[in-house]
Amino acid sequence: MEASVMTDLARESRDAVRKPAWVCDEFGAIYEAHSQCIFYLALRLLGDPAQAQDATHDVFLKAFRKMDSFRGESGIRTWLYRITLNHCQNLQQSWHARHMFSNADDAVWETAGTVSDDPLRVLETKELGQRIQQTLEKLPEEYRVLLLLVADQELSYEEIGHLTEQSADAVRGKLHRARKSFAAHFKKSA
Amino acid sequence: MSTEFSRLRQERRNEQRQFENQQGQVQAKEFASVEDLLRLDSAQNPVPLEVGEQLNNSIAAEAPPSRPWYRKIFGRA
Repeated sequence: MEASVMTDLARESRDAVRKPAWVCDEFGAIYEAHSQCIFYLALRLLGDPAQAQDATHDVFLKAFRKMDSFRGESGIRTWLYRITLNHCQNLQQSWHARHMFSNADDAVWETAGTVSDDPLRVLETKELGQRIQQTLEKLPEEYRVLLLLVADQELSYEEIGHLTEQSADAVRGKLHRARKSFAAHFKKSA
Repeated sequence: MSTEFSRLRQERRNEQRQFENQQGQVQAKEFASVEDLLRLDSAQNPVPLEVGEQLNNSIAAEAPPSRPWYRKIFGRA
């Protein structure tokens, strides 16, 4: 009986940590709906879980402070993505961590032939995160951002174009090349 | 209190280990597209719980705005 009460208490205590009682319910709902995609974008752009956690916190705090200036011209998620992209770019600039790319990288997919026709095979999903990170880091930043945004099924090409300051057609064209480049590098990393 | 906290932490570690072991058992999984691959990766990297808690604390420490934004957006008086 005592053990059962303890277990219940422990569970309640754990759940309380999992779902904070938001001081602002409306913003809590926004956080619950969009934090996963924001964290994932930050994680793969920054390549470091601790920095991605900080970035997610900072992005949402910034959003909370700036909510008054949100005009609703784009969706909230698109707006949060915009803040995240700017935030991560600023961090990368301040760390002097930009990657340099040579034309040799492009040659990988240009000569890859039918590489995009084959399914991407992963032997163990345990190693997936590491391989994806390594692969993304080999791509030009623009391709990396486009792939991460298009993986979010809630974003249209138009919204991605708006976020990356180009037309939806340009997004489509670049995505085609980005997918091929990713697939080529990913297979090489096996 | 601290013993209970350690126990909860240990419990969480065990859950995480169990999850990782299950993931490791998936053999030769194939993905039709890069997007599918990234979606799985995203699902495997949930936002740590601490982020929401810290954010909530940060928001609580903020000075309340003169006219809350959510009243403007959600139209509450």
